[in-house]
Amino acid sequence: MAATSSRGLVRMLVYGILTFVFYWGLVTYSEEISHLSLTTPDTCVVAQGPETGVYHKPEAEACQAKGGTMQDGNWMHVLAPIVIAFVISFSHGAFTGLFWEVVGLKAKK
Amino acid sequence: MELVQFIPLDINNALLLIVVGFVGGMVSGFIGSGGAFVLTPAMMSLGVPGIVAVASNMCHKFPKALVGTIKRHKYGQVDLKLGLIMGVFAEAGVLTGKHFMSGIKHDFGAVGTDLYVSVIFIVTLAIVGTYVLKDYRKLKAGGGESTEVPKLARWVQSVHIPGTMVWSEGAKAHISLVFIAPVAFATGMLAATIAVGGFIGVPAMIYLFGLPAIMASATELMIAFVMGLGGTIFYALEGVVDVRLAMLILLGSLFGVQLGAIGTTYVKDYQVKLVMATIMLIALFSRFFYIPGYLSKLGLIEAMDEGTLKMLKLGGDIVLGIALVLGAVIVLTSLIKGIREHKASQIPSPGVGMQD
Repeated sequence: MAATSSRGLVRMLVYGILTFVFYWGLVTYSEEISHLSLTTPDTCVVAQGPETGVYHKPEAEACQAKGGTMQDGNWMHVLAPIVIAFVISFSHGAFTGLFWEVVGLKAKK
Repeated sequence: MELVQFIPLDINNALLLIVVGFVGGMVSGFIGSGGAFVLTPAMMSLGVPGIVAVASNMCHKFPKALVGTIKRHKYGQVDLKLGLIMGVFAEAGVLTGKHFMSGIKHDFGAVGTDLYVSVIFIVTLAIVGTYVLKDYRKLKAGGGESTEVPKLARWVQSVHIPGTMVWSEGAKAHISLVFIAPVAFATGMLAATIAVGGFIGVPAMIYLFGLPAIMASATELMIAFVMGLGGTIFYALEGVVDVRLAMLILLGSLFGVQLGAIGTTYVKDYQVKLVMATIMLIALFSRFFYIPGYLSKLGLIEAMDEGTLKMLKLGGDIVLGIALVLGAVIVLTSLIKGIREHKASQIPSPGVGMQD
């Protein structure tokens, strides 16, 4: 019994650390991830001070007037949210399941 | 050209998203439905445009739906064939719904999608909330859930159109695609509009196709996975999926959903229905506060001053906050009370202990 619960605790910690690392990456590379998503379709990218404005449905003339650059979209960027969602859901799902188990909260039988 | 912006991920927004995800997850685990009906408006209250809120919600839901489908398939609760067929037609609905939403965004901007999502929310929650409230009254009066196949479902199962019949393991009957296709299509349309398709799919599978409630909700998870994955791809191609939002919501909701699901085992069925109806109707009410602002920004009514708009938004945020806090308090108190009562009932009396 004790061996089972300590194994559960170790697994919870492993998944917990893994989940923490994924979330750390998500927050650290937040700007890059956003930019990847926003630039999946064709865009007009305009530097606005320290920030970057991304315009969808770009028109060459309007983009030029704003001093922006026309950028071709890349459908492969679609994979980014899907892979991130799958990986984090798997790791975080396993962690929370084990967390409530270790805490001892169970459904009434 | 349309400027598209995701909200900045500062500490305040991140914490709010996690808390909203936790409460939304807890409520959804408790009432057994997707929590998007509180998550989508809550995200919009944080300043996320309607189209981004819906797209990101679909992205946060599909991996959860996949895990749920696999788990419940092990218990034999998923009608795989029906789920797959409905998933295909639902995907067509998602594509159409997304196309419609993109059209609104193109013609009226992000505020147009805010108004569209809010109106569909109000209509859907009013219908479903009222129905759930009726169900609560029936259950409380001792009516109980009927195990008989509903009359309408018996008629649907009796309609035989050659070349269109599909065997449903859940209903133990043949059902024509003539009925399946429009139901699934509408489910997908609603999912692409407010990120909650189950409000159509689940009752239709129970009352129209004759599936037991437990199989209908499990099969809906499979449809939700197909719709969620497809919706995420379609919306991601438009560049409006904010996966950071989706994952922060998920961070809280995965803790909450399991807590809520455990909570249901300690309460009566009718209590769950009452919680569901109350939260739905309060969430619906909160949307009314935002609509004048959307109409004003779109120029459909006389322009309102900034102060009034801020006050209205604050009013909406407070009402939605009440719905979330109320949901959290009910689930947690039910859980604590239920566990105490359960533990008390487990302690044997001295006499009984001696006999053992």
